[in-house]
Amino acid sequence: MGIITPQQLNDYLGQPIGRICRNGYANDADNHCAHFVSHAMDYRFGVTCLTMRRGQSPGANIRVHELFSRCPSVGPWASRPATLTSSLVFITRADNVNISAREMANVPRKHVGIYISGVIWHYSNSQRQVVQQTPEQFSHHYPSPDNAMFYGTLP
Amino acid sequence: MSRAWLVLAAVSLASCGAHPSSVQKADGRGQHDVRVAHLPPSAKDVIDAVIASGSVALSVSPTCRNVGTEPSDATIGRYLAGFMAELSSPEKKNWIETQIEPGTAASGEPVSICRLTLRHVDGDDRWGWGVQFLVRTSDGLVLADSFTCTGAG
Repeated sequence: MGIITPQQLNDYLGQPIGRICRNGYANDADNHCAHFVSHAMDYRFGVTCLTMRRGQSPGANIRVHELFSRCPSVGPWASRPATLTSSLVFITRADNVNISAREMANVPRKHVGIYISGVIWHYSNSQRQVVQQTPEQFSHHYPSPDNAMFYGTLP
Repeated sequence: MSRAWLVLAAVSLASCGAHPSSVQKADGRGQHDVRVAHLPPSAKDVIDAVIASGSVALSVSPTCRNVGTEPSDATIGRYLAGFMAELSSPEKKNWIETQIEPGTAASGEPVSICRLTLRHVDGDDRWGWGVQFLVRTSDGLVLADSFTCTGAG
């Protein structure tokens, strides 16, 4: 897919994962941040909701570290190119990330959203819906030191 | 708690037969047969089987690729230990979920489909990582090559 518009992402606002995933992988006790991003962006690689559960619709990736390693270019959020107006945005402890290898360890506290021109859309597991935040608000998703932010160019 | 797990693991490993199968452990040696105590397996049997299968290599399934909390993690045991280590705070909500349902293996044999999930909820810090595997109905054998790694986030 490559690119999505803010208008398309706004259509997801307030929606629980059960309305987004037609394969029924929607247990609220699971973490659906990568799952939402992948359905919105049509990322079908790696481990998907269809891997975890039988369904009739295309599967979407469900793992943050797999999304990270698929980004053509990654780096610290503060170092993102000024021309990069659309990207994935990740938050986790800095030690969990190897930028040169484009690797993120599968630690519990890691999160991903979609950034476009100053706004981040992501799935809030506690609110059980897609929400919209500024990067500054997103930076408080986890307390320090688990709140280092990274960009990843769109797979 | 970690001591109890170690004792359980030691007892379980000692009770396993020494018949090598086709599944390799991370150290390159054969995975010993593991059998459950009851059929269909109980929740306790599922947990026991997972502990006894701790040396199964993560290469057993593409779903287990890079699932460890450290890049060097190479076994089911090391993978699960990484998430169990995150369950240490008494102020957070943690639980172990088990599921057992009847099914059929690819070979056509009747099996129990067993799943163990370690769960944690603390606001947006919410996850459930674990494993799924098959237990052969005819003799209670844990099919070591059936392990897959479950979880999202």
